[in-house]
Amino acid sequence: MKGKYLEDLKNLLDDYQMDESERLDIINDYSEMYDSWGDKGFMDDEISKKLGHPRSIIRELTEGYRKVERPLPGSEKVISLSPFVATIAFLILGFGLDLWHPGWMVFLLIPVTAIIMGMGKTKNEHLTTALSPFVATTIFLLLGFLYDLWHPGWMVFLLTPVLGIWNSRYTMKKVDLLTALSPFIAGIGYVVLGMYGYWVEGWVIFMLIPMLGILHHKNKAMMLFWELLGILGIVGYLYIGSTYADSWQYAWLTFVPFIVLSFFNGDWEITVDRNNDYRLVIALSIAAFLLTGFFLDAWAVCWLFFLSIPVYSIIKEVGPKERIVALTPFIATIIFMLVGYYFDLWHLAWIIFIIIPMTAVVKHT
Amino acid sequence: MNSQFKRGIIEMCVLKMISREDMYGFQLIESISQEIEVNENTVYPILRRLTKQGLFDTYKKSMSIGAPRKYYSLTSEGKEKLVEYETEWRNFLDGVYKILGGSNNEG
Repeated sequence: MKGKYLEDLKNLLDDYQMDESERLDIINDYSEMYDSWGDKGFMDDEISKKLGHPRSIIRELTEGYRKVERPLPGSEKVISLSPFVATIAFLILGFGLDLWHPGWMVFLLIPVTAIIMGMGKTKNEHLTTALSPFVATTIFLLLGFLYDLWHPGWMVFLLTPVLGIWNSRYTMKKVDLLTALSPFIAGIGYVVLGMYGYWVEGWVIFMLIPMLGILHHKNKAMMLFWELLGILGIVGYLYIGSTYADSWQYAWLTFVPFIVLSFFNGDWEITVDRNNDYRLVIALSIAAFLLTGFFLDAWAVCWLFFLSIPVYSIIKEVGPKERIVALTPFIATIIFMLVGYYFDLWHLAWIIFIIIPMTAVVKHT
Repeated sequence: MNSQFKRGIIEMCVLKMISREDMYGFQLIESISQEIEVNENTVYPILRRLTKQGLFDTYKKSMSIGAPRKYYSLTSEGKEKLVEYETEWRNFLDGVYKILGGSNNEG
């Protein structure tokens, strides 16, 4: 086990530009640490956990070092040829098969090739993240043009943030990884449930986010109690709502114990701020969510009020120069949902997401 | 706490601990972690960097059981750096306490 651990570490260190003596130094340090934990009676698995998997510690160990570049064979030629290959493919598809549209999409191969060749030479772990916008766009357009599945096809764009989080998994604890992924899992789940007509009761899937967040709570007894209240809230809400006619507007009261405990239990390990203004924003967004849900029957979109929490945090914490860039994803999401849902223009609404890179480019130029 | 800030403080603590007695890496981590939350992946890169900067000398010491251990000792350059860090740190703390309206002698 020790040999395997050091071998893995060495293989990862080989990807960085450092002297052989430095590399050996690091290996020897970890060998010594491994032995020291072993002397204390720890087993291989425990030691490996204590030291951290080589993939999860490599970034700390190599801070300040550049990655070794190993260009893929013939990469420059492939990059230079890609525009010509794409053009030829486009013309063949157009003249030969009358597929000018969506044949134009072959031009996406040009940036894709450049990304693969550029990031591949340093074995960049975010290669798939960088490729995902192109893959998502291709899938989205094909689903839309060929099958008229603009909605829920737009959900394929969630691939990019999900891959971004997934590719950072070695630097995260499992529970942090799940918490980070939970908004996407819940969002996809909600839309899928909504498509089957469960817009009203389906929103409970968003309980996944706080319930995973609660797993960070240090006090295990409190954590279990809190989770139990969440489960009771969900079960009670679904039971009352589906058993008694016209009771959905009252069924949510089963969440009151959970909400009350969440409101007053501030002992979070992961928290942005515990100031009263945050509590006020959270309380107001819950109130707005419930009011618009009940009085306007806008359950499908009223969850957007919860975006006011990160939006408020950005306005308060992020400097004026970066603020607009940080806010654009939320603005885009709100416009996208409202236009998509109320005007059934999912196929056009996604274009609003272009403001995200546009704003970033304009601000950084 | 900002990780860069914390790392700077740990760096000073590492210098201080080794100024008291020569230590091997694991021993140092165990000593520091009694007071501050640190792990191997933070302390070892600091040890390597400071050794590279000439603040530490290293030597191997044979053990009755197991492989020899690498001990770190403070060089004269390291001693000067520690004094510099301690002075800066005390001045910084004085300033912070003045702003907070207390004195650094207060509990």
